[in-house]
Amino acid sequence: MIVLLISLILLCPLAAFAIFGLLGLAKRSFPRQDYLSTAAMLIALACSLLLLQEVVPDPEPHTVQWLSLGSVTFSMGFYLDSVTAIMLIVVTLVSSLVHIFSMGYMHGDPRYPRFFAFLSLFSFSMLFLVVSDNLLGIYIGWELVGLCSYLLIGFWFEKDSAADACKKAFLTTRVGDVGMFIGMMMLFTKFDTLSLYGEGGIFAQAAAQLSTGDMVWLSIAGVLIFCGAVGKSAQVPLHTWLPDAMEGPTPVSALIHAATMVAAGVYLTARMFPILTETSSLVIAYIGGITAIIAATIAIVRFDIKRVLAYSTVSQLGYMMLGIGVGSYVAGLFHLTTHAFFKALLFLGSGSVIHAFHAMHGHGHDDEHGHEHDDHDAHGHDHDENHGSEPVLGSEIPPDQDMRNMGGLRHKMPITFITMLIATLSISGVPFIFSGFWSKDAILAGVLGRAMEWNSVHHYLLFGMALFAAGITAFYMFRLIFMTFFGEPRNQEMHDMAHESPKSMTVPLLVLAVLSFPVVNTLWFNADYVKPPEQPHLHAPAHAHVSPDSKVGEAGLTFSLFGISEAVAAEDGADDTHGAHGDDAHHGHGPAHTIAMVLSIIVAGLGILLSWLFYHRRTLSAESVATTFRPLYTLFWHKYYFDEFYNGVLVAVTVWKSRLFAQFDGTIVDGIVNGVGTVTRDILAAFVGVFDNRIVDGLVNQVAEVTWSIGGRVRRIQTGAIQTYLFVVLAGIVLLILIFRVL
Amino acid sequence: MTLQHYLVISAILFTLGIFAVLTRRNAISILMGIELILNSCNLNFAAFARFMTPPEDISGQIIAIFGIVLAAAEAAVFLAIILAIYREFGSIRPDEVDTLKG
Amino acid sequence: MLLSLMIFVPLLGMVAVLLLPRESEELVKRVTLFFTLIPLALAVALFISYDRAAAGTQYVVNVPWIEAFNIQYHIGIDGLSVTLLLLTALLGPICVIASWRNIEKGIKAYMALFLLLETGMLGFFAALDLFLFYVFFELTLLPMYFLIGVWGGPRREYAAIKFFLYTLFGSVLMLVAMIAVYLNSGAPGARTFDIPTLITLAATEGHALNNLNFQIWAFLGFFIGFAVKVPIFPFHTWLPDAHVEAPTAISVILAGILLKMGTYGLVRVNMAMFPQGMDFFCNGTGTWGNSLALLGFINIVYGSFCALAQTDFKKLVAYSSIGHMGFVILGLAARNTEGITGAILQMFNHGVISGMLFLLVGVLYDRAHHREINGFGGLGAKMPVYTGITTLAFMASLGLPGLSGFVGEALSLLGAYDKFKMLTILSTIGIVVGAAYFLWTLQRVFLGTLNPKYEALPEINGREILTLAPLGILTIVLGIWPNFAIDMFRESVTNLVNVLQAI
Repeated sequence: MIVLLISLILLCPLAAFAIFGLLGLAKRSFPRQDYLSTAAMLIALACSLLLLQEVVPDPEPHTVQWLSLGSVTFSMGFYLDSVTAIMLIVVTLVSSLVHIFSMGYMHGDPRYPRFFAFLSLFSFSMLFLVVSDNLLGIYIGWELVGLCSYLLIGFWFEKDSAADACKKAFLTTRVGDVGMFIGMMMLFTKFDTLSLYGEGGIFAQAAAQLSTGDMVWLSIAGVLIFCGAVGKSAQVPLHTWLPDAMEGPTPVSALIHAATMVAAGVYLTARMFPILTETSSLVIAYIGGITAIIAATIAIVRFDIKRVLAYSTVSQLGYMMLGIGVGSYVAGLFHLTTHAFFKALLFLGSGSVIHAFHAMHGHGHDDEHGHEHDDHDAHGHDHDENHGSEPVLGSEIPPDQDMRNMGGLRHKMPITFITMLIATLSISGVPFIFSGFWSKDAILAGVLGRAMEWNSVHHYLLFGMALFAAGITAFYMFRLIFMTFFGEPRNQEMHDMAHESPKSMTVPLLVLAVLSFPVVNTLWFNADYVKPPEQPHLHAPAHAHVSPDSKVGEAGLTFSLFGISEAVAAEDGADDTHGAHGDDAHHGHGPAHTIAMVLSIIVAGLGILLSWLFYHRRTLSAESVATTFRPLYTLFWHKYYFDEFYNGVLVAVTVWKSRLFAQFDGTIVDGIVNGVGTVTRDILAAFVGVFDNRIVDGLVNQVAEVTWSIGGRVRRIQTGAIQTYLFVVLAGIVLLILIFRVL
Repeated sequence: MTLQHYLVISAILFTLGIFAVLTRRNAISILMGIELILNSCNLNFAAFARFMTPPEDISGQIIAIFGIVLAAAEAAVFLAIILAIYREFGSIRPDEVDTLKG
Repeated sequence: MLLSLMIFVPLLGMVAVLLLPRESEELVKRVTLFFTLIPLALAVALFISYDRAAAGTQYVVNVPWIEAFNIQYHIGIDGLSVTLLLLTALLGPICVIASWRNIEKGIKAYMALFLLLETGMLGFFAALDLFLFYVFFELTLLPMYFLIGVWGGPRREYAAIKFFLYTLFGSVLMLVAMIAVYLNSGAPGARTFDIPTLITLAATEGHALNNLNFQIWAFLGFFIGFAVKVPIFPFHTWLPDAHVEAPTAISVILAGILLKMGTYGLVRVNMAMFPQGMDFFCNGTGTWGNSLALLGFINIVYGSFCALAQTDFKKLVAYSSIGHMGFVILGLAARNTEGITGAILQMFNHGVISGMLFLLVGVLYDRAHHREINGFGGLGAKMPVYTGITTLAFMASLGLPGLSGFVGEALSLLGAYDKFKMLTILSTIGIVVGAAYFLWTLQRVFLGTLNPKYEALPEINGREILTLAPLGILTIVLGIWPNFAIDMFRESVTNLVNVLQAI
């Protein structure tokens, strides 16, 4: 049953793509590719919901042998545990909604069928990644989603910026993937398998070894595998591709670059949880924390509505990584789930806003080049100058995405406004009734709990980072809302033309808005089956002096609301000895959680308040603050100079190196070859020629000389008159006869 | 008629042929001289065969016939060459054709 | 018999083509196609009937040829040969179809030489007698020289001569090594060129062929001969020139088959006959212990970086071939199951993928009459199907999982990592750079705004799709189910690994 359902989930989207591909070879396309793809996704969604019933606590993978090399075999298979089931639902649900949304948003695009085919291929790859029970399968899905991301970012490839962005996305993630591949090679060399589960799987073998000696190499392998996640989930320092990826159509940004693919990194890290050592966990936590802050600060100064959301995504992904890095497995995954919905909602909402501006711009959907904006009518540029910044890479904002052209849209687009507001409240961590609060709070509590439990400076620092990022998040998200929906219209002409989007777009928004309330999430994310796997170092003796057996998960909520707390608290579940040390745990973590929650509410409130003062009441002036803190502002505006560094140093060096190699190849290596040729032909041959002329030929010439002079004399005999010859012949005969007669 | 008669005739023919070949200034005449020489040889073959071998052995005669055929072929080739020489040099006088003179 | 028929049918075809009148070009092409389809059919028959469970050689024919030197006409196939025979037979008709329209002069001579070339290649992969092996090896050289030198681009003569001399230089060393092996194989009268016999002798304790010093030198002699063909840095510079000048179909053969002759030779002769010599160069210890893996690494990184700098589409693909053959060398240097399987798989897949790439370059060249990457732009909007197929080929070549290029590459690396950790990790740079140059090319040719010069460029036509489709399907099928190919040579590899580990 499980195998059947999973196969169906995978095959439906794949078939939708295959039909497109095969017909494409014959230069045709299916008349209603959109219906085909959407139907495939809905079937997958239905199957995913059915699968929820099939989850069992300690499942066995369903595998088939994929590659058999004699002594070594690689298998492929499905693994269905609670996390898989949740991910399946998240992916299929968001994907279905995005499919429906796209029918409105992409309507009239010249490559409309192709868009849906690519979405199907993406869904297939993502689902394959999710259900795979082994690293090789995950890696395959991993790269395929990368390909789809490439294809979809570059969907409007006539735009140079899109063409650049898709290449950048693929290459940047590939750098991470290579790290992941090296990590896989390390694991394979040690364990002789890439299967994660089951008896001979990596986890079983690692668990046996982790209890014994030195695990430095495992830390390295863990960090290397995490490199893949750094690339895919846009963590510092490989985060720069994600904001640029906003060149893709907005539904793509929502599906791939907010809800699912970028979360795959978090999923992978969570999957690898059992082999993460203390060191690698700390590395992951730090990367997550740093990412959360860097991305959030950059988001403050963006004006492109999609870029704000992109940096927000990067920042939130950092959060999830942080959660997993400190051992709050369930909290990290919970945030993944809630974030998938509210971030998809935010993106689709922004898509709705952009769509509203489109029709008016005259080069909307009927335009041959789709959403191309090559006639920059200077809205963006003017404002850049106002802010006293020289234009930087990617700073040319299309007018319909520039928040400085928006304002007061709440009356024009009520549904979009309400739904986006819900999502914003959720991501900002407004307490109690929004899902984002619970998931973010769980992470914060997890970090603080770990810090208190281990009394670790690292973790206190990480908590500070997380808290700071939470405050900034609230600030820039409300900045977005205020600039877009409140206040006076800044561009009256554009404002007049704006309109609410069609039903196919607003319905997905409403559905996602409902999903941003925690009660809905508990339907599938519940304590019964989300259980964190064992991570041996969490009760390593090194920390014995603090709290021998306690687990971070115990930092989970001590009070319950709508059942969420149970989910988070379920992190206790895996620890059988929990009961015995229950008192300890409560001592350590009860306060941790309360403190975390209070602090998070305070910073969120502060962020919202400041945002209100800056962008709604305008009591405070963003410009003057920017002037006061100019260096900081410039740093944020230039996105910490990552792009400058990469383009100016890494890319330049690579290209320079390649030129150098090619030069070397053309001049030195080939030069040697040609040189040998020339030497052989000219010099050697010339030398031999001289030798030949003077010595060898000298002799020959002497002989020739003699022959020549003799010949000169003898030639006179040769008269050319035939009768002379005959006479000589006759004379000779007579002579011979005479001689022989005489003798 | 004895062998001697034939040999004498043959010798006369041969001498005439040599004479023609060495002295004539016309290539056609030289050819005729050569034919005479060949015929004298044929005559010798036939005569020796008739008088010096048993009657059933006719190899001499056969060689003579070959010789005649050869002479015919040779004449054809020779005439062709002469024709070519005439085209090239405008003359068939051997003393005027001395390109091979050393 | 089936095997001999397969080898010599193209030769028969050559005679048939030569007998046809020069004017009837269509007929010449059809006859050639027919005579390349027969080996394909036979290869498919071999593929089906080949006993996958057996490790030894099959379809053996062994008759005396030159008895004075104990030379035999000894042919037979094992898993490795059957795989490459299939590849050769498959590329044959594809190349004939690809040459259908764009060979302007002397089509008869072209086709005749092509058929001769095919016989050479097929024979090479089946030969089990060292002398025969050498004869077939050289037999491919001659037609190739003319095919490049007569039907090539502007600098064809330079390229052809370079190719010829380079290969000849390598094969002379090979010949010397071969004679040395022959002379050491036994007492006068008992000497032999027979490969299986020589392998047994070389494994016999105390035999002259078993001597380490001899093995090292003989290994080197053969190695240089094959290294030129592969090509391994620094013997590679003939390749870009030959590729750039050669007509499309000949580039396909060059990259698809001729390069494989080098690596095939390494497996068939160097690995099997000189395991100790091999061990000396890749056991990871001593001065020379890393040399083979080092060469593989250099090939990968060097080839990739050089490719990145190219602006000629065809040259880029040529350099990418150098990079990809590096993975084969790296896999072979590992000498374990994963490495060798990966290497063989990579050989086959590279043949398919680079064949596709060269065909695709040819399609574009036939339309635009130049190959300057920067001279295009935005073709994606104009030629969607062509762009789709190119993307598939590029993705396969840069090792995207799910397509065949990945499996070979990944297995080679996995195998090599076991033995040469640092070199393997450094080699992964090649993966990133590989993605970089392909994506950059994709962007420069297909993405962005359409270059107005190419407003009227026609989409890829049916004949061209016909040449590409089989290769594309193979790429996908082998990416999803690599066992399809691995089944053929699993036992052979196991056998080989056992031999190698016995030292």
